[in-house]
Amino acid sequence: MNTKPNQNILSEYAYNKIKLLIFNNILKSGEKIIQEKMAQHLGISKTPIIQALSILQNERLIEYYPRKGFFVRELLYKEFIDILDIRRILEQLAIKKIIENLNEKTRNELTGFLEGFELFNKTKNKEKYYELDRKFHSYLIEASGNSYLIDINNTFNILLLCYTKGFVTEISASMDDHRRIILAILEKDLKKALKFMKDHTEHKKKSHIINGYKNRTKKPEQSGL
Amino acid sequence: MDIRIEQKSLSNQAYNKIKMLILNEGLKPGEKIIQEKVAEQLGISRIPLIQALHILQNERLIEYYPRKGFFVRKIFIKEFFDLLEVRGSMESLAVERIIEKLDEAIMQKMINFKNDFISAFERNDVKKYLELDKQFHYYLIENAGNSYLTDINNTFNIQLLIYTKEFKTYISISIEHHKKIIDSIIERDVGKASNTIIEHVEKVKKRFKK
Repeated sequence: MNTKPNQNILSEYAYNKIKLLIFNNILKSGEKIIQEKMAQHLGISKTPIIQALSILQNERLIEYYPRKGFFVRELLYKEFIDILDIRRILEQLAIKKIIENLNEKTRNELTGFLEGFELFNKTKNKEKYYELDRKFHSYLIEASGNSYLIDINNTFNILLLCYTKGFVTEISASMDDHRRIILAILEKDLKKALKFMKDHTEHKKKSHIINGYKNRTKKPEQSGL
Repeated sequence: MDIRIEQKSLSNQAYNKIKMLILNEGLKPGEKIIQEKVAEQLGISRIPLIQALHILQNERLIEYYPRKGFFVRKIFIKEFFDLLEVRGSMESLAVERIIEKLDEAIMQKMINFKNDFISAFERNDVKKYLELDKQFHYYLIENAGNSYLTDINNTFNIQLLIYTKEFKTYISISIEHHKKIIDSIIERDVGKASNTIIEHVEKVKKRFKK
């Protein structure tokens, strides 16, 4: 009885840690996850590691091959485009709901995001800019008030996958997109806001093609973990 | 090994049967699932039944309360609206993709759907109409070529949950929208298709608000 909660806490800990390693690209796409090394790295035993890996397998972040083990799942180009399309429709619906229910609080929060983007763009603080970028897109989904949007995003890691597996767009291009989207929401111009959001994901698709995602064939790098 | 496979297929059978019961409202929203009764009714034993109930709990079709048991989950109106909106968004994307790859076969399929819808509506054959309705919405999601649409739909039972509620009200407004969606696919008019889908969502919501 007493071991059970601890067990859960440990596997949850392992789950969060491994997920972060994947999303921060420390564990690379296609890389084998060596259980012993991971256990050593996190300072816990193999059992919670295996439990965590099974959950991540359910979330389709890693894959299991019999007699070979667990690997970080590689996203093929087609799947990446599919995810961007899903992200687009989720965020477009979110924007629609936000405009329908726009109030002082949401206005202030959106204005805050815009000011932040402008500042980090001006000071060329890439790290801060991209951090705010992630927060902004999660915010849209959360602020929509549609519980299914939130659940779908969490279950399928839609936003997270877009960030990691992809290449980041240039700040200046992203800045223009964000400014246009936020201003259109504040003006309650649904049509424009939806269009700008679509443009934003289309820009991402393009930047991925330019970055050569499509033709990537080389063997995955190893993190040494 | 063999026993395990049999076990799995038994719980699979139980899963399918209970799911059908829920969707046909043989088990009503909010109703307690009495395991002995259901086991007897479906001719299955308790272990596969419990396994099936756990899967259905994951799919959020049923809920478990400690010391009380399993209950069919009630969908409240807010959640139903959320579902309708999400399905609308998913279908807009599906239609966009289908129009992109529209060929003879899809074209023919659309014409068939339209004729069947009209004929079922004119004969006032509600059962047939609803059957078609299900097929049509699945067809859109399945043929869009985006595996996430299918996965999201299955994981959250989006279509299924909508049907359990939507069925009761909406055949007369539905026929016009269905015809319009099909026409806009045939005419390759993405804008018209997604406007119709949005219009449909809003109309259904309005009816429920009354």
